[in-house]
Formats: sequence, C-alpha cells, structure tokens
Amino acid sequence: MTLRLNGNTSGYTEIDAPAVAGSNTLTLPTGAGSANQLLKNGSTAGSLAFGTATEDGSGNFAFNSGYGSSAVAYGCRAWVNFNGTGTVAIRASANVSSITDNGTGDYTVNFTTALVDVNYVTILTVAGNRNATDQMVSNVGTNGNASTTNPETYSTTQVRIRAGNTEPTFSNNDVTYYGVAIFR
Amino acid sequence: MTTSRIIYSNTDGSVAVIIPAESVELAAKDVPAGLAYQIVTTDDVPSDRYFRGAWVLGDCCIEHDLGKCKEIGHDKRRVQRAEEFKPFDEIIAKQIPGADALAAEASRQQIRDRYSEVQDAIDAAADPDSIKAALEVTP
Repeated sequence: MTLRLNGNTSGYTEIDAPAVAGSNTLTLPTGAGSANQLLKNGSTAGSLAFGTATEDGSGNFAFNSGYGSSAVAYGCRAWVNFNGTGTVAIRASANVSSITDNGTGDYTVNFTTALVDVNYVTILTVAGNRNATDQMVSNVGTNGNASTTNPETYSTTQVRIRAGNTEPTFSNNDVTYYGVAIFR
Repeated sequence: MTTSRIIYSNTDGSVAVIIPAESVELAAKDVPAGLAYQIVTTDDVPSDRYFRGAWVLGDCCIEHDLGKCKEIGHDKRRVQRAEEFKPFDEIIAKQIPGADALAAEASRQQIRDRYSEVQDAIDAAADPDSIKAALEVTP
C-alpha cells in the first residue's frame, strides 16, 4: 500500500512500504524538533525521535559525545593499525588501500580515496620493541629525517612514515604496532 | 585479511612489499608507475626482519644481499658496543670520585677485544645466520 500526498500545484510525494514480509510500525515524534536535528530511532524501536546531533545542511555534522556541548566534529579521513614485526599485517583500517613496507621502520600509507589536498594532519603512534635507554622518534612526510636520502612522500594519495631510535645515532627501528590517523 | 602481497624492486635495488588492506587488486594501484611487480603470499616474504635492509629481489623471490647484511651487522655491532661502553665512558669522562677509572678502562678494553672478534666473524660470515650468531655476544 502506498500513501500518496499530492503536491499543491503538481506532482506528488509517496511513502511506500518495503516489498518484504512482516509488519512494522513507525511512530512519528511528538513535536517538530529543532532546525538541523537528525531523525532517529528512539529508545523504543519504531518510535522516531529527534536526536541532539545536527547536520547544518552544508555537511557539517555536530554532536556532543562527552565534549560538553554539541559542536561540529572534524573527521578522521583515514586510519590504519598494523603489526611492524614478524609478518607485517594490517590489523584494522579505513580508507587505506594498502601499506608499503619500504624497509626497517619505514612505511608508506596509501589511501583508497584521495584527500582533497595535502594540508592534512598525520598522527603516528608507535608501540613496543624499543631499547629502554633510547628515545623513540617518528617522522612523517617531507621533513625532519636525518637518516636517509630517499625522497619523502606527503601527498593526497599517500604519506610516508618512519620510526626509529636516537641512540647512539638515529636509526630506523621496527616496532610492534604502528597507528596512523589522518585528520582534515 | 588477505595473505597476498605485492613485491617489487625500487630503482635503487631495495625491495618494497605492499600489504593490501582488503584486496590485492585495489592495492595494485599503489605500485609506483613503471615498476614491474609480482603478487606473492606471506609465505614468500621473510618474517625475520633482522636484515630487512638487505632484501633484494632474486629470480623468483626475496633474497639477502650478503654484503648489505654485513654492513647492517657492523652497524648493529657498533650500537651494541656503544651500549656496553656507556657506563664506563661515564666514569672516565666525568672522573667520578670513588670510581675506579683504571678498572673502567680495563673493562672497556675487554669490550673492544670481544667486539674485535665479532668484527672478524662478521667479515668471515658466509650467510646471514652466521652474522646474526656472531652478534649474539653477552658481556
């Protein structure tokens, strides 16, 4: 059964049920809500309610989630967590097509969908397998690497990362886990 | 997670290994333009990364360049030796009162002698495992 709402002048809008067996009841919210609020399932399934999260019509999504008030949140555009010792393997990821193992402590993260520009922030974390007396350092992209003459990469499609020790001189070092997150 | 890997040789002779997040077909776009590549499995990629910088692409698979293994071995030898020198260097450099500088120097000489033997063993090594074994010296 289709419910058809005719337009004031021409055309119409239809509300249709899915072509599957079973019965469902959706109850509309009690009020009209506020501007930009998102409609969601309420605490009882099927009872629709307006959530506090909003989308302002320009694709800016705002929510609270412990921030203190609802505010626009900025997205992590790609991330990956991978093993850096033994058989190198991706543990989990999003918007990452692959990682390239370039050498000891040296990887390139390749994005599935390219970023809009190169003005993004790369967060690199490393965990485990370091000498207790060494300082662990990590390098991202173009600058700050004292150990290599290889060309560096910080582009819309990939970013190169390194981890190493400072003692007695800088040297790349494999670590147990790498985490890379891209914000823009 | 796929167990497929893409391997290729860079223009400088080093080996790169691509680890796909989902599919090897999607990851193939990440091979630099113009470079030939092979699709292999994790079984074809060494899990021992001790001499990762010495990997080269042989006729069929990843192999170790013995000369590069020795360079890496010597680098590791110098790092290990510096770590062992450290406490005695402190005593001698700072002339710490009450500390025996002569004993510290004797200890440094023992370390020098031991690592001189390691240096010879690395130079004489016929395979990567022998280099690794030579570096397993304990104070």
